[in-house]
Amino acid sequence: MLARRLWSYCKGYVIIKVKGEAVEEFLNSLSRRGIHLWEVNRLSRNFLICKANMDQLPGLSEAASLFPIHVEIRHRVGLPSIGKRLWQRSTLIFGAVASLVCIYMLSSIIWVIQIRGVDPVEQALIKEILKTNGIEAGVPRSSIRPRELETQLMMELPQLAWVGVGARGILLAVEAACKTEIAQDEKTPGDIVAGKGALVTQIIPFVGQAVVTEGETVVPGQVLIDGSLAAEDMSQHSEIIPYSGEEPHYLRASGVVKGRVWYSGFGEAGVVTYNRYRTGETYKGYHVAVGPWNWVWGVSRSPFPLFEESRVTKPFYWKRLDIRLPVRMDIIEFHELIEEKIEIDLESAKETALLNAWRDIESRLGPRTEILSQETEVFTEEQGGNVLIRAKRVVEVHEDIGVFRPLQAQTRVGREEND
Amino acid sequence: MIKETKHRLLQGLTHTLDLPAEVMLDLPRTTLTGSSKILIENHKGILSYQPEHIRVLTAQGETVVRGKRLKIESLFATDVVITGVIHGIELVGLGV
Repeated sequence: MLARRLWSYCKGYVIIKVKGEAVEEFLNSLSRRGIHLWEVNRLSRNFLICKANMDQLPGLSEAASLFPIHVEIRHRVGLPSIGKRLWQRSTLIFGAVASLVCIYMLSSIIWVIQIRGVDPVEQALIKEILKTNGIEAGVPRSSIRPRELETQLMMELPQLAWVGVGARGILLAVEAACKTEIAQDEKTPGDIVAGKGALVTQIIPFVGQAVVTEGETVVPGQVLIDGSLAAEDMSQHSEIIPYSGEEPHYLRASGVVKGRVWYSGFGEAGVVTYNRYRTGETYKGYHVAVGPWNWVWGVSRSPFPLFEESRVTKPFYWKRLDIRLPVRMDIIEFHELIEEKIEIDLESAKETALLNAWRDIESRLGPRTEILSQETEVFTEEQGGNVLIRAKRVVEVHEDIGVFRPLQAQTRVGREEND
Repeated sequence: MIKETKHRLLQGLTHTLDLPAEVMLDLPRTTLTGSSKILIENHKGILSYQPEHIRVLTAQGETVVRGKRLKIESLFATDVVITGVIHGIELVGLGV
Protein backbone atom coordinates (compact mmCIF):
# COMPACT_ATOMS: atom_id res chain seq x y z
CA MET A 1 0.00 0.00 0.00
CA LEU A 2 2.82 2.37 0.90
CA ALA A 3 4.65 1.60 -2.35
CA ARG A 4 1.47 2.27 -4.31
CA ARG A 5 0.99 5.59 -2.50
CA LEU A 6 4.56 6.61 -3.15
CA TRP A 7 4.19 5.71 -6.80
CA SER A 8 0.96 7.72 -6.97
CA TYR A 9 2.75 10.68 -5.34
CA CYS A 10 5.53 10.48 -7.90
CA LYS A 11 3.08 10.25 -10.80
CA GLY A 12 0.78 12.84 -9.24
CA TYR A 13 -2.85 12.47 -8.20
CA VAL A 14 -5.94 14.59 -7.68
CA ILE A 15 -8.46 14.80 -4.87
CA ILE A 16 -11.87 15.13 -6.46
CA LYS A 17 -15.23 16.11 -5.10
CA VAL A 18 -18.28 14.39 -6.65
CA LYS A 19 -21.74 15.86 -6.16
CA GLY A 20 -24.95 14.46 -7.56
CA GLU A 21 -27.63 11.79 -7.43
CA ALA A 22 -25.89 8.97 -9.28
CA VAL A 23 -22.53 8.70 -7.56
CA GLU A 24 -22.55 4.88 -7.39
CA GLU A 25 -23.17 4.64 -11.15
CA PHE A 26 -20.36 7.10 -11.70
CA LEU A 27 -17.98 5.04 -9.54
CA ASN A 28 -18.91 1.86 -11.44
CA SER A 29 -18.40 3.62 -14.75
CA LEU A 30 -14.92 4.72 -13.64
CA SER A 31 -13.93 1.23 -12.46
CA ARG A 32 -15.15 -0.26 -15.72
CA ARG A 33 -12.96 2.22 -17.60
CA GLY A 34 -9.97 0.99 -15.60
CA ILE A 35 -9.69 4.19 -13.57
CA HIS A 36 -8.37 3.36 -10.14
CA LEU A 37 -9.95 5.24 -7.26
CA TRP A 38 -8.89 5.14 -3.64
CA GLU A 39 -9.92 6.60 -0.30
CA VAL A 40 -13.47 6.98 -1.55
CA ASN A 41 -15.20 8.75 1.32
CA ARG A 42 -18.90 9.40 1.26
CA LEU A 43 -19.59 12.48 3.32
CA SER A 44 -23.35 12.75 2.62
CA ARG A 45 -25.97 11.15 0.43
CA ASN A 46 -25.06 13.21 -2.65
CA PHE A 47 -21.47 14.04 -1.93
CA LEU A 48 -18.21 12.06 -1.86
CA ILE A 49 -14.50 12.70 -2.03
CA CYS A 50 -11.95 10.35 -3.62
CA LYS A 51 -8.50 10.26 -5.10
CA ALA A 52 -7.50 9.36 -8.67
CA ASN A 53 -4.31 9.34 -10.68
CA MET A 54 -3.60 12.54 -12.56
CA ASP A 55 -2.98 10.75 -15.87
CA GLN A 56 -6.49 9.31 -15.71
CA LEU A 57 -8.16 12.73 -15.58
CA PRO A 58 -9.31 12.71 -19.25
CA GLY A 59 -11.19 9.42 -18.76
CA LEU A 60 -12.62 10.74 -15.53
CA SER A 61 -14.02 13.91 -17.11
CA GLU A 62 -15.39 11.88 -20.02
CA ALA A 63 -17.25 9.62 -17.58
CA ALA A 64 -18.47 12.61 -15.58
CA SER A 65 -20.14 14.05 -18.67
CA LEU A 66 -22.33 10.94 -18.96
CA PHE A 67 -23.95 11.32 -15.51
CA PRO A 68 -25.94 14.08 -13.85
CA ILE A 69 -23.15 14.86 -11.43
CA HIS A 70 -20.70 17.65 -10.77
CA VAL A 71 -17.02 16.76 -10.45
CA GLU A 72 -14.56 19.25 -9.08
CA ILE A 73 -10.83 18.94 -8.54
CA ARG A 74 -10.02 20.11 -5.00
CA HIS A 75 -6.27 19.56 -4.91
CA ARG A 76 -3.50 18.42 -7.14
CA VAL A 77 -0.94 16.44 -5.15
CA GLY A 78 2.45 14.94 -6.07
CA LEU A 79 5.69 15.77 -7.77
CA PRO A 80 4.26 16.91 -11.16
CA SER A 81 2.10 19.55 -9.46
CA ILE A 82 5.03 20.71 -7.29
CA GLY A 83 7.17 20.96 -10.43
CA LYS A 84 4.45 22.92 -12.19
CA ARG A 85 4.07 25.33 -9.27
CA LEU A 86 7.82 25.85 -9.14
CA TRP A 87 7.95 26.41 -12.86
CA GLN A 88 5.29 29.09 -12.52
CA ARG A 89 7.38 30.79 -9.81
CA SER A 90 10.48 31.38 -11.88
CA THR A 91 11.85 33.96 -9.42
CA LEU A 92 11.92 31.32 -6.69
CA ILE A 93 13.90 28.95 -8.93
CA PHE A 94 16.19 31.79 -9.91
CA GLY A 95 16.71 32.63 -6.20
CA ALA A 96 17.48 29.00 -5.33
CA VAL A 97 19.93 28.66 -8.23
CA ALA A 98 21.53 32.03 -7.38
CA SER A 99 21.88 30.94 -3.74
CA LEU A 100 23.57 27.70 -4.77
CA VAL A 101 25.92 29.57 -7.10
CA CYS A 102 26.71 32.08 -4.32
CA ILE A 103 27.38 29.30 -1.80
CA TYR A 104 29.62 27.53 -4.30
CA MET A 105 31.51 30.69 -5.17
CA LEU A 106 31.92 31.83 -1.56
CA SER A 107 33.01 28.37 -0.44
CA SER A 108 35.74 28.33 -3.09
CA ILE A 109 37.37 31.40 -1.54
CA ILE A 110 39.81 31.33 1.38
CA TRP A 111 38.32 33.37 4.21
CA VAL A 112 40.35 32.23 7.18
CA ILE A 113 44.11 31.73 7.40
CA GLN A 114 45.19 29.73 10.40
CA ILE A 115 48.84 29.44 11.41
CA ARG A 116 49.66 26.97 14.15
CA GLY A 117 52.62 25.37 15.86
CA VAL A 118 54.96 28.36 16.02
CA ASP A 119 55.50 31.46 18.16
CA PRO A 120 53.73 34.74 17.38
CA VAL A 121 56.97 36.08 15.90
CA GLU A 122 57.19 33.27 13.36
CA GLN A 123 53.45 33.52 12.78
CA ALA A 124 53.88 37.16 11.79
CA LEU A 125 56.77 36.26 9.46
CA ILE A 126 54.73 33.50 7.82
CA LYS A 127 51.78 35.90 7.42
CA GLU A 128 54.13 38.42 5.81
CA ILE A 129 55.45 35.86 3.32
CA LEU A 130 51.91 34.72 2.50
CA LYS A 131 50.90 38.34 1.94
CA THR A 132 53.90 38.91 -0.34
CA ASN A 133 52.71 35.96 -2.40
CA GLY A 134 49.25 37.49 -2.61
CA ILE A 135 47.67 35.01 -0.22
CA GLU A 136 45.25 36.64 2.20
CA ALA A 137 41.58 36.34 3.09
CA GLY A 138 39.53 36.64 -0.10
CA VAL A 139 41.77 34.83 -2.59
CA PRO A 140 40.35 31.91 -4.61
CA ARG A 141 41.31 28.51 -3.24
CA SER A 142 42.34 27.32 -6.71
CA SER A 143 45.11 29.97 -6.83
CA ILE A 144 46.94 28.39 -3.89
CA ARG A 145 49.70 25.89 -4.58
CA PRO A 146 50.36 24.28 -1.17
CA ARG A 147 53.54 22.40 -2.14
CA GLU A 148 55.16 25.48 -3.72
CA LEU A 149 54.18 27.54 -0.70
CA GLU A 150 55.71 25.00 1.67
CA THR A 151 59.00 25.07 -0.26
CA GLN A 152 59.07 28.86 -0.28
CA LEU A 153 58.38 29.11 3.45
CA MET A 154 61.12 26.60 4.21
CA MET A 155 63.58 28.54 2.06
CA GLU A 156 62.72 31.96 3.46
CA LEU A 157 62.52 30.92 7.11
CA PRO A 158 65.55 28.75 7.93
CA GLN A 159 64.45 28.52 11.57
CA LEU A 160 61.58 26.25 10.51
CA ALA A 161 62.06 22.51 10.64
CA TRP A 162 58.81 21.60 8.90
CA VAL A 163 55.89 23.34 7.21
CA GLY A 164 52.56 21.88 6.11
CA VAL A 165 50.07 23.90 4.06
CA GLY A 166 46.55 22.65 3.42
CA ALA A 167 43.51 24.38 1.96
CA ARG A 168 40.25 22.89 3.20
CA GLY A 169 37.01 24.64 2.33
CA ILE A 170 37.33 28.28 3.31
CA LEU A 171 40.29 27.60 5.61
CA LEU A 172 43.97 27.77 4.74
CA ALA A 173 45.83 25.92 7.49
CA VAL A 174 49.57 26.47 7.83
CA GLU A 175 51.20 24.18 10.37
CA ALA A 176 54.86 24.69 11.13
CA ALA A 177 57.46 23.57 13.63
CA CYS A 178 60.61 25.46 14.60
CA LYS A 179 64.02 23.85 14.92
CA THR A 180 65.02 23.11 18.48
CA GLU A 181 68.34 24.63 19.51
CA ILE A 182 70.67 22.13 21.13
CA ALA A 183 71.87 23.42 24.51
CA GLN A 184 75.55 24.32 24.43
CA ASP A 185 75.79 24.60 28.23
CA GLU A 186 78.04 21.60 28.59
CA LYS A 187 80.65 23.17 26.29
CA THR A 188 80.41 26.78 27.39
CA PRO A 189 83.63 27.89 29.09
CA GLY A 190 83.49 29.89 32.27
CA ASP A 191 84.53 30.31 35.89
CA ILE A 192 83.23 29.22 39.24
CA VAL A 193 82.29 32.35 41.17
CA ALA A 194 80.95 32.98 44.65
CA GLY A 195 77.13 32.90 44.74
CA LYS A 196 77.07 34.51 48.21
CA GLY A 197 79.38 36.41 50.48
CA ALA A 198 81.16 33.78 52.61
CA LEU A 199 84.29 32.63 54.42
CA VAL A 200 85.89 29.92 52.26
CA THR A 201 86.43 26.70 54.20
CA GLN A 202 87.14 24.21 51.41
CA ILE A 203 88.12 24.54 47.72
CA ILE A 204 88.76 21.57 45.40
CA PRO A 205 89.20 22.53 41.73
CA PHE A 206 88.43 19.75 39.17
CA VAL A 207 89.01 21.89 36.08
CA GLY A 208 90.65 25.30 36.26
CA GLN A 209 92.76 26.95 38.92
CA ALA A 210 91.70 28.04 42.40
CA VAL A 211 92.25 31.76 42.82
CA VAL A 212 91.22 32.03 46.48
CA THR A 213 92.51 30.13 49.49
CA GLU A 214 90.76 28.55 52.47
CA GLY A 215 90.09 31.10 55.20
CA GLU A 216 89.66 33.94 52.74
CA THR A 217 86.50 36.06 52.71
CA VAL A 218 84.77 36.39 49.35
CA VAL A 219 82.03 38.63 48.02
CA PRO A 220 79.21 37.60 45.63
CA GLY A 221 80.48 37.35 42.04
CA GLN A 222 84.15 36.94 43.00
CA VAL A 223 86.00 34.36 40.89
CA LEU A 224 86.83 31.25 42.91
CA ILE A 225 88.05 28.80 40.23
CA ASP A 226 89.42 30.33 37.06
CA GLY A 227 88.65 28.59 33.74
CA SER A 228 91.61 30.22 32.00
CA LEU A 229 93.97 27.62 30.54
CA ALA A 230 97.00 29.91 30.66
CA ALA A 231 97.81 28.72 34.13
CA GLU A 232 97.06 25.10 33.45
CA ASP A 233 99.03 22.41 31.73
CA MET A 234 97.16 21.67 28.52
CA SER A 235 98.43 18.10 28.46
CA GLN A 236 96.58 17.31 31.72
CA HIS A 237 93.24 18.23 30.19
CA SER A 238 93.33 16.62 26.80
CA GLU A 239 89.69 15.45 27.19
CA ILE A 240 88.41 19.00 27.75
CA ILE A 241 86.79 20.62 24.77
CA PRO A 242 88.22 24.11 24.20
CA TYR A 243 85.91 27.09 23.68
CA SER A 244 86.56 27.21 19.93
CA GLY A 245 89.10 26.16 17.38
CA GLU A 246 90.59 29.63 17.29
CA GLU A 247 90.71 30.28 21.06
CA PRO A 248 91.86 27.20 23.02
CA HIS A 249 92.62 29.26 26.12
CA TYR A 250 89.44 28.85 28.16
CA LEU A 251 87.85 25.84 29.80
CA ARG A 252 84.68 25.12 31.67
CA ALA A 253 85.85 25.43 35.29
CA SER A 254 84.43 22.96 37.79
CA GLY A 255 85.06 22.06 41.38
CA VAL A 256 83.73 22.12 44.94
CA VAL A 257 83.85 25.32 46.96
CA LYS A 258 82.34 25.38 50.42
CA GLY A 259 82.18 28.24 52.86
CA ARG A 260 80.60 29.64 55.97
CA VAL A 261 77.63 31.88 55.28
CA TRP A 262 75.65 34.00 57.74
CA TYR A 263 71.94 34.52 57.23
CA SER A 264 69.76 36.86 59.21
CA GLY A 265 65.98 36.70 59.26
CA PHE A 266 63.23 38.72 60.91
CA GLY A 267 59.79 37.74 62.11
CA GLU A 268 57.04 39.22 64.18
CA ALA A 269 53.85 38.13 65.91
CA GLY A 270 51.16 39.92 67.86
CA VAL A 271 49.61 38.75 71.10
CA VAL A 272 46.27 39.60 69.55
CA THR A 273 45.61 38.43 66.00
CA TYR A 274 42.54 38.60 63.83
CA ASN A 275 41.50 35.75 61.56
CA ARG A 276 38.91 36.13 58.84
CA TYR A 277 36.56 33.35 57.74
CA ARG A 278 33.86 33.07 55.07
CA THR A 279 30.35 32.75 56.49
CA GLY A 280 29.06 31.03 53.35
CA GLU A 281 26.77 33.92 52.38
CA THR A 282 27.44 35.00 48.79
CA TYR A 283 25.98 37.32 46.20
CA LYS A 284 26.68 37.12 42.47
CA GLY A 285 26.83 39.77 39.82
CA TYR A 286 27.29 39.44 36.06
CA HIS A 287 29.01 42.05 33.99
CA VAL A 288 28.72 41.63 30.21
CA ALA A 289 30.76 43.83 27.90
CA VAL A 290 30.17 43.86 24.13
CA GLY A 291 32.60 46.29 22.58
CA PRO A 292 32.02 49.68 24.25
CA TRP A 293 28.63 48.63 25.72
CA ASN A 294 28.28 47.23 29.24
CA TRP A 295 25.43 45.54 31.04
CA VAL A 296 25.31 44.53 34.68
CA TRP A 297 22.98 41.91 36.14
CA GLY A 298 22.66 40.97 39.76
CA VAL A 299 24.71 42.67 42.44
CA SER A 300 27.32 45.22 41.39
CA ARG A 301 28.44 46.33 44.90
CA SER A 302 28.99 44.19 47.94
CA PRO A 303 26.03 44.17 50.34
CA PHE A 304 28.36 42.98 53.17
CA PRO A 305 30.41 45.34 55.35
CA LEU A 306 33.28 42.84 55.48
CA PHE A 307 33.70 40.81 52.32
CA GLU A 308 36.01 39.08 49.89
CA GLU A 309 35.56 39.48 46.14
CA SER A 310 36.29 36.84 43.52
CA ARG A 311 36.08 37.60 39.85
CA VAL A 312 36.05 35.12 36.94
CA THR A 313 36.49 36.57 33.45
CA LYS A 314 35.23 34.59 30.50
CA PRO A 315 36.32 35.93 27.13
CA PHE A 316 34.52 34.57 24.06
CA TYR A 317 37.29 32.88 22.17
CA TRP A 318 36.81 30.65 19.15
CA LYS A 319 39.79 28.40 19.71
CA ARG A 320 39.48 26.41 16.49
CA LEU A 321 39.77 29.49 14.30
CA ASP A 322 41.78 31.56 16.77
CA ILE A 323 39.14 34.29 16.76
CA ARG A 324 38.65 36.45 19.84
CA LEU A 325 35.26 38.17 19.85
CA PRO A 326 34.92 41.60 21.50
CA VAL A 327 32.59 40.05 24.06
CA ARG A 328 33.53 39.42 27.69
CA MET A 329 31.63 38.29 30.72
CA ASP A 330 32.78 38.83 34.31
CA ILE A 331 31.20 36.82 37.10
CA ILE A 332 31.73 38.69 40.35
CA GLU A 333 31.07 36.89 43.60
CA PHE A 334 30.98 38.64 47.00
CA HIS A 335 31.66 36.37 49.99
CA GLU A 336 30.70 37.62 53.44
CA LEU A 337 33.54 37.45 55.99
CA ILE A 338 33.52 37.27 59.74
CA GLU A 339 36.49 38.41 61.85
CA GLU A 340 37.62 36.39 64.85
CA LYS A 341 39.89 37.86 67.53
CA ILE A 342 42.51 35.39 68.80
CA GLU A 343 44.61 36.16 71.89
CA ILE A 344 47.70 34.12 72.62
CA ASP A 345 50.13 34.26 75.55
CA LEU A 346 53.51 36.03 75.35
CA GLU A 347 55.58 32.81 75.09
CA SER A 348 53.51 31.52 72.18
CA ALA A 349 53.86 34.89 70.44
CA LYS A 350 57.65 34.74 70.88
CA GLU A 351 57.74 31.23 69.40
CA THR A 352 55.66 32.37 66.46
CA ALA A 353 57.93 35.37 65.84
CA LEU A 354 61.05 33.13 65.95
CA LEU A 355 59.38 30.65 63.60
CA ASN A 356 58.57 33.47 61.19
CA ALA A 357 62.20 34.62 61.36
CA TRP A 358 63.35 31.06 60.52
CA ARG A 359 60.93 30.88 57.59
CA ASP A 360 62.45 34.11 56.30
CA ILE A 361 65.91 32.45 56.33
CA GLU A 362 64.79 29.02 55.15
CA SER A 363 63.64 30.33 51.78
CA ARG A 364 67.19 31.58 51.05
CA LEU A 365 69.14 28.49 52.13
CA GLY A 366 70.77 26.34 49.46
CA PRO A 367 70.59 22.54 49.20
CA ARG A 368 72.85 20.34 51.36
CA THR A 369 73.27 23.03 54.00
CA GLU A 370 74.79 22.28 57.39
CA ILE A 371 73.81 24.60 60.26
CA LEU A 372 76.79 25.43 62.46
CA SER A 373 75.35 27.92 64.96
CA GLN A 374 72.55 30.38 65.46
CA GLU A 375 71.72 33.42 67.63
CA THR A 376 68.30 34.88 68.39
CA GLU A 377 67.11 38.19 69.79
CA VAL A 378 63.54 39.02 70.81
CA PHE A 379 62.11 42.54 71.25
CA THR A 380 58.72 43.39 72.70
CA GLU A 381 56.93 46.54 71.70
CA GLU A 382 53.44 47.92 72.15
CA GLN A 383 51.59 49.10 69.10
CA GLY A 384 48.02 50.45 69.14
CA GLY A 385 47.09 48.61 72.31
CA ASN A 386 48.47 45.33 70.97
CA VAL A 387 51.75 43.77 72.18
CA LEU A 388 53.99 43.02 69.19
CA ILE A 389 56.91 40.59 69.44
CA ARG A 390 59.76 41.08 66.96
CA ALA A 391 62.43 38.39 66.56
CA LYS A 392 65.82 38.41 64.85
CA ARG A 393 67.59 35.17 64.05
CA VAL A 394 71.16 34.88 62.71
CA VAL A 395 72.20 31.45 61.42
CA GLU A 396 75.72 30.37 60.46
CA VAL A 397 75.73 27.58 57.87
CA HIS A 398 78.26 25.59 55.89
CA GLU A 399 77.26 25.19 52.25
CA ASP A 400 78.30 25.16 48.58
CA ILE A 401 78.94 28.69 47.47
CA GLY A 402 80.39 28.07 43.99
CA VAL A 403 78.22 29.00 41.00
CA PHE A 404 79.19 28.51 37.38
CA ARG A 405 79.35 31.73 35.36
CA PRO A 406 79.75 31.39 31.58
CA LEU A 407 82.56 33.37 30.05
CA GLN A 408 81.07 36.28 28.09
CA ALA A 409 82.76 37.52 24.94
CA GLN A 410 83.42 40.93 26.47
CA THR A 411 84.95 39.42 29.59
CA ARG A 412 87.17 37.28 27.41
CA VAL A 413 88.46 40.28 25.45
CA GLY A 414 89.09 42.15 28.70
CA ARG A 415 91.03 39.25 30.09
CA GLU A 416 93.16 38.91 26.97
CA GLU A 417 94.02 42.60 27.15
CA ASN A 418 95.00 42.22 30.82
CA ASP A 419 97.14 39.18 29.97
CA MET B 1 -30.82 -22.62 -21.93
CA ILE B 2 -27.46 -22.67 -23.72
CA LYS B 3 -25.99 -20.39 -21.08
CA GLU B 4 -27.18 -22.65 -18.28
CA THR B 5 -25.77 -25.73 -20.03
CA LYS B 6 -22.43 -23.98 -20.52
CA HIS B 7 -22.39 -23.01 -16.87
CA ARG B 8 -23.08 -26.54 -15.68
CA LEU B 9 -20.44 -27.91 -17.99
CA LEU B 10 -17.87 -25.46 -16.67
CA GLN B 11 -18.92 -26.27 -13.09
CA GLY B 12 -18.42 -30.00 -13.69
CA LEU B 13 -15.08 -29.43 -15.37
CA THR B 14 -13.90 -27.17 -12.56
CA HIS B 15 -14.96 -29.72 -9.96
CA THR B 16 -13.40 -32.65 -11.83
CA LEU B 17 -10.10 -30.95 -12.61
CA ASP B 18 -9.98 -29.09 -9.26
CA LEU B 19 -9.55 -25.71 -10.96
CA PRO B 20 -10.04 -22.36 -9.13
CA ALA B 21 -13.76 -21.58 -9.34
CA GLU B 22 -13.35 -17.80 -9.10
CA VAL B 23 -11.33 -17.93 -12.34
CA MET B 24 -13.29 -20.49 -14.27
CA LEU B 25 -16.79 -19.46 -13.20
CA ASP B 26 -16.10 -15.78 -12.48
CA LEU B 27 -17.28 -16.25 -8.90
CA PRO B 28 -16.67 -13.55 -6.32
CA ARG B 29 -14.01 -14.13 -3.67
CA THR B 30 -14.35 -12.32 -0.38
CA THR B 31 -11.45 -11.97 2.04
CA LEU B 32 -12.17 -10.55 5.50
CA THR B 33 -9.23 -9.31 7.58
CA GLY B 34 -10.31 -9.10 11.24
CA SER B 35 -13.36 -6.91 11.36
CA SER B 36 -11.85 -3.82 9.76
CA LYS B 37 -11.08 -4.70 6.16
CA ILE B 38 -12.78 -6.68 3.45
CA LEU B 39 -11.61 -7.41 -0.08
CA ILE B 40 -14.15 -8.45 -2.67
CA GLU B 41 -12.66 -9.74 -5.90
CA ASN B 42 -14.57 -10.21 -9.18
CA HIS B 43 -17.23 -7.65 -8.26
CA LYS B 44 -19.53 -6.22 -10.89
CA GLY B 45 -20.08 -2.78 -9.44
CA ILE B 46 -21.25 -0.78 -6.42
CA LEU B 47 -25.00 -0.80 -5.96
CA SER B 48 -25.17 1.46 -2.95
CA TYR B 49 -22.58 3.21 -0.81
CA GLN B 50 -23.45 4.51 2.64
CA PRO B 51 -21.23 4.76 5.74
CA GLU B 52 -23.46 2.12 7.43
CA HIS B 53 -23.71 -0.37 4.58
CA ILE B 54 -22.23 -0.98 1.15
CA ARG B 55 -23.89 -3.19 -1.41
CA VAL B 56 -21.58 -4.76 -4.00
CA LEU B 57 -22.90 -6.55 -7.09
CA THR B 58 -21.31 -9.90 -7.91
CA ALA B 59 -21.93 -12.64 -10.50
CA GLN B 60 -23.99 -14.58 -7.96
CA GLY B 61 -26.07 -11.74 -6.57
CA GLU B 62 -24.91 -9.09 -4.16
CA THR B 63 -22.70 -8.87 -1.08
CA VAL B 64 -23.89 -6.47 1.59
CA VAL B 65 -21.30 -5.23 4.08
CA ARG B 66 -22.77 -3.70 7.25
CA GLY B 67 -20.95 -1.72 9.85
CA LYS B 68 -19.90 1.77 10.95
CA ARG B 69 -17.78 4.41 9.20
CA LEU B 70 -17.45 2.21 6.13
CA LYS B 71 -15.26 3.57 3.40
CA ILE B 72 -14.14 2.34 -0.01
CA GLU B 73 -10.38 2.23 0.44
CA SER B 74 -9.63 1.22 -3.10
CA LEU B 75 -11.78 0.64 -6.18
CA PHE B 76 -10.48 -1.26 -9.19
CA ALA B 77 -12.35 -2.71 -12.13
CA THR B 78 -12.58 -6.13 -10.46
CA ASP B 79 -11.52 -5.55 -6.84
CA VAL B 80 -12.93 -3.39 -4.12
CA VAL B 81 -11.41 -2.91 -0.66
CA ILE B 82 -13.75 -1.70 2.09
CA THR B 83 -12.51 -0.54 5.48
CA GLY B 84 -14.25 0.54 8.67
CA VAL B 85 -15.90 -1.25 11.60
CA ILE B 86 -17.52 -4.31 9.94
CA HIS B 87 -20.45 -5.83 11.80
CA GLY B 88 -21.65 -8.31 9.23
CA ILE B 89 -21.64 -9.58 5.67
CA GLU B 90 -24.77 -10.67 3.96
CA LEU B 91 -24.94 -12.62 0.71
CA VAL B 92 -28.15 -11.90 -1.18
CA GLY B 93 -29.48 -13.77 -4.22
CA LEU B 94 -27.12 -16.75 -4.09
CA GLY B 95 -27.84 -19.92 -6.03
CA VAL B 96 -27.99 -18.30 -9.48
